[in-house]
Amino acid sequence: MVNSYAPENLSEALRLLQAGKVTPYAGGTDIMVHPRAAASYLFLRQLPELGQISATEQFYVIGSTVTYQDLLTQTKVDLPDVLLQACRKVAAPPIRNLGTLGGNICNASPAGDTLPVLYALDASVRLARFEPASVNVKDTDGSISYRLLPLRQFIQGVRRTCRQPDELLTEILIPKVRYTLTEYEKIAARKAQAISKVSFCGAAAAEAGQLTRLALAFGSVGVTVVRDSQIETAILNGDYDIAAAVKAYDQLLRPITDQRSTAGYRRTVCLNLVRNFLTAVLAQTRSGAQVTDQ
Amino acid sequence: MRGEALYVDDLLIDGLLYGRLLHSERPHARILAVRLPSLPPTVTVVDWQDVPAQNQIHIVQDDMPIFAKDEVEYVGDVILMLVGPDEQQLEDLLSQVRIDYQDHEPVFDPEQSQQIFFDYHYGHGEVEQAFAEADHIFSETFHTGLQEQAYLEPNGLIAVPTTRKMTVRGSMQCPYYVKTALVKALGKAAEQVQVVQDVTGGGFGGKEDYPSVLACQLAVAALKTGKPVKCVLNRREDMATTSKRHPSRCHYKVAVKDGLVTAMDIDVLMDSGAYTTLSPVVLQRGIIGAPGVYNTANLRVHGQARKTNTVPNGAFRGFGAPQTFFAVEMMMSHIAVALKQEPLAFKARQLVAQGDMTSTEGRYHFNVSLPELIQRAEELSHYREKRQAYARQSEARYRKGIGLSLIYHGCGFTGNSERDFIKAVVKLKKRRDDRVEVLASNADIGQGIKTTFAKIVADQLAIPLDQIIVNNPDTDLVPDSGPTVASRSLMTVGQLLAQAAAKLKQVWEPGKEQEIEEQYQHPEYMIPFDMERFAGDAYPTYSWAVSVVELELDRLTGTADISGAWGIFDVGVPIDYNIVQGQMQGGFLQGLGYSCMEHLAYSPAGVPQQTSFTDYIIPTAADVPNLVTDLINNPFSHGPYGAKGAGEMPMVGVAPAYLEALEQAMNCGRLEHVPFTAEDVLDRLGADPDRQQAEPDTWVSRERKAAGKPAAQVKSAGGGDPACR
Repeated sequence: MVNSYAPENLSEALRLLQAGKVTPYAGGTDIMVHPRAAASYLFLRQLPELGQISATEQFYVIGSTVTYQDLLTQTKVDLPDVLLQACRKVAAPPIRNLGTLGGNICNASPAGDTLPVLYALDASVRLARFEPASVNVKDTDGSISYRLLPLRQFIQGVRRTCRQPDELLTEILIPKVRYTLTEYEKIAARKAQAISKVSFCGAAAAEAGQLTRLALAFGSVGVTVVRDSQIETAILNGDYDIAAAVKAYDQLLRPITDQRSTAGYRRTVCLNLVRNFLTAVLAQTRSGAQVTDQ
Repeated sequence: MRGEALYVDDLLIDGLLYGRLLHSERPHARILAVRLPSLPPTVTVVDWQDVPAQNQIHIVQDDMPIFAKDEVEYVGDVILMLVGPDEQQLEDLLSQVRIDYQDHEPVFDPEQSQQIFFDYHYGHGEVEQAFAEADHIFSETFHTGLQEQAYLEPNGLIAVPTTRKMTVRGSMQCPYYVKTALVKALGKAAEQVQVVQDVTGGGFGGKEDYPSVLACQLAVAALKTGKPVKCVLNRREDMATTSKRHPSRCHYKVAVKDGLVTAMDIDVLMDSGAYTTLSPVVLQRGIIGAPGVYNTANLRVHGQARKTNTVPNGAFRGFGAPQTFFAVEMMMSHIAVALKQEPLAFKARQLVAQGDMTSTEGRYHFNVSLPELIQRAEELSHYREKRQAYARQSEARYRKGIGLSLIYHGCGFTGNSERDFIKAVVKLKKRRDDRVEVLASNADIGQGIKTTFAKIVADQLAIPLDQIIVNNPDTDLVPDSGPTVASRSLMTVGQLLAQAAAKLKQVWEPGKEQEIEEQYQHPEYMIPFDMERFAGDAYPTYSWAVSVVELELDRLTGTADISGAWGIFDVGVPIDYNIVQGQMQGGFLQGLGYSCMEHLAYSPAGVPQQTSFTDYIIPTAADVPNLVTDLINNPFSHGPYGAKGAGEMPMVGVAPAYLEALEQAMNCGRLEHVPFTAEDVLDRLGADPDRQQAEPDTWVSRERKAAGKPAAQVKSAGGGDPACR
């Protein structure tokens, strides 16, 4: 006999997770591709703690079971447009109604549609676990411990994260940063219901003719989303011009050929898109410089 | 819509067992030993030794085994079936079966294959003389890829044995094909075999030959166990092991004199896969259409289908025509560009017209509606205007292109098959309550034939539609009115029903049981088709289509947005406007998939690589948001209410229209294969501009060759822009 659970609050969910072998189930859109008859699921969508979208002074805070459709339709928080662009490219309405941002992260596919954006925007994830020592304390919040870590550290490989078996991803935190130029591209074999062959997110900020921030993230070209701080810094510092930056990414990226595309195609698209984005960034920075000069 | 339809997967029968197939893992090997795990008493092994009569499945020839005996010929060839009450248990046991193989060298490239299954020649006129007198000679080679039918419901059947007969039921297009195959395999009398079609979730040709294969396997299993046995393939199994569209290579050599095509010399090669199945008929239709919709006074056509160690290729909407129409339309477009002419204008000057000779020395007996279709396509798409405008674009990230193709589809069976082999019979059975049942063997597989048959009969009898009964065909109840293929059901069988209904009306007696039978008569106007010479009327008539595709290419990613698509069709007279529109839109979409995204390839070990809808990409409505399909009326005197064939045609002309549009957007020379994927686009845009000229099959006009100029200059003079980046 297989049991699945629908806990009423986070504390109960975490206790169930600690007690037995249950699979956390947010939207189920990845899990149900290969359903296991013997699996015991821990349903999370009904937990009020995980379904909130809010903003603090420094962060946008998105609950892990917030669906793509929630993100696209909510009006409470002015979320980064580039994240919403990625959400619009996910599959089709039925999947967007069920699939969650937390699920996209914990599934840890290098082709996850929102991941290049979350990498580029320096997102962090908050994880919760139940502390058994506090079982008898009435204040349930007191029994949960949290840790916060950068998304880039959390995702370790294809379908591999450093979530411990008794931990749940509760929230995604995105720093509130003003970018002057962002771009998201999902390249797939068709316009909907497709797994990306390549995805790209670029985010840049310029002030008074100076490039002050730059993030370049590539999906589906490695075991995780690829972002390289050294190259970004070299571009920011003016050590690399566009050609040198493209060359650096050419050396960095190690795409593969599989049943969906070829290594050569993935590489060429990445380099084309990063060249195109950097050209737009520099043009914008220069025009900013001209404005400042006047 | 009530959701009451029961598919074969929904059907439960007392004592039902399941069958799971063991497929070969090797493309070409001798079976040395079959090592089975220890089997519970409830599980039965079924293999070639259990076949009572003939271990070959009758399709056109009888060469594909029901269960492989000594040799396997492709990855997927069926070696045995495990039968038992629990499917999961069978799957577990199947994974423990070990086969010892002795591998042979497989052949995957039809060009390298030494085994020629079919070889046809035909032609007319003075081909050599025309080439000798030509101003220009152009030659080029085209390739088309595999395509999976991707019907919504996978293949599945149930075999039910009783003391008196074997019944097979389930998803299929051609109940009598299945019956004939069963009679031969089981060695039973015709009346001891019954085949019933159940609700079928799409076919597109993919359920023309394959159900005969599965039916024989299941019937053998049902005989051995004495129990009903069901097998519904899972999606990966269906995509990996059942028939697909034949890949092709078409070589064209074309003579042009005074700005017109004077001769074509065409060589077509189709990849048959491991067994012959439907390849002869697919090849016939392909080569008959090879010169396209153009008058070609001097013609030589050679066609071959060769064996490879891959999944046997079979029927798929268009049936050989999409391959050759793609090639001839691209060829004509390329010649036009080389001659510095607008492709449509060049083509329009040499279109066939009523009374002209067909490629096989038959006649276009009826109105050729292409000029009218072209005019309508122009009105809707503004093709010429856009074609000119897009020729003057800058080399920016996004570039537009528009392309147009002209095609026909020969309606119904090729040659004399209706007269000599099918000999269709229909019946109308009037019941005492004055309701009338249509008795025909054509299957509704989603194309709406039940609706159109009922409309014809109701209208002829001037009775309400709900007084007409059309059940799924059961060979114990319906006569053999032929298979559900070749865009024939409505035109040929529908006409028989119209005639039967007219007769019934004359003798109608209220409250009395009455039955009317009608038999096929070959149209008298048809010039008999000589199958040896490919001479005569290959088809009773033709449907015509103009397809237009407009797109915007992203040159950084190689992806194209289809900004406009128009299909203008002459299907005679539509019997049900909505059904025809559905067919035209669905077929057009399938054509787009064929053009740019439906990539299916074998691994070096002969294993199909794209066997799920995640990896084998078919288009969605989002890929062509602005698809416009339009119909003109061009009544066919011998079709019911003027109807001609419709179902296959919309697929046929899309690929050349797409590729012509893509060529304009890429501005990088000639394209010559489908699917032309985003990977291909970037590959070509980034390629050395001289690469095309370095290929062995050069694009040379004879004059310039004689002048000793390199081919590259010829090509750029032909309008291609060598600046590819």
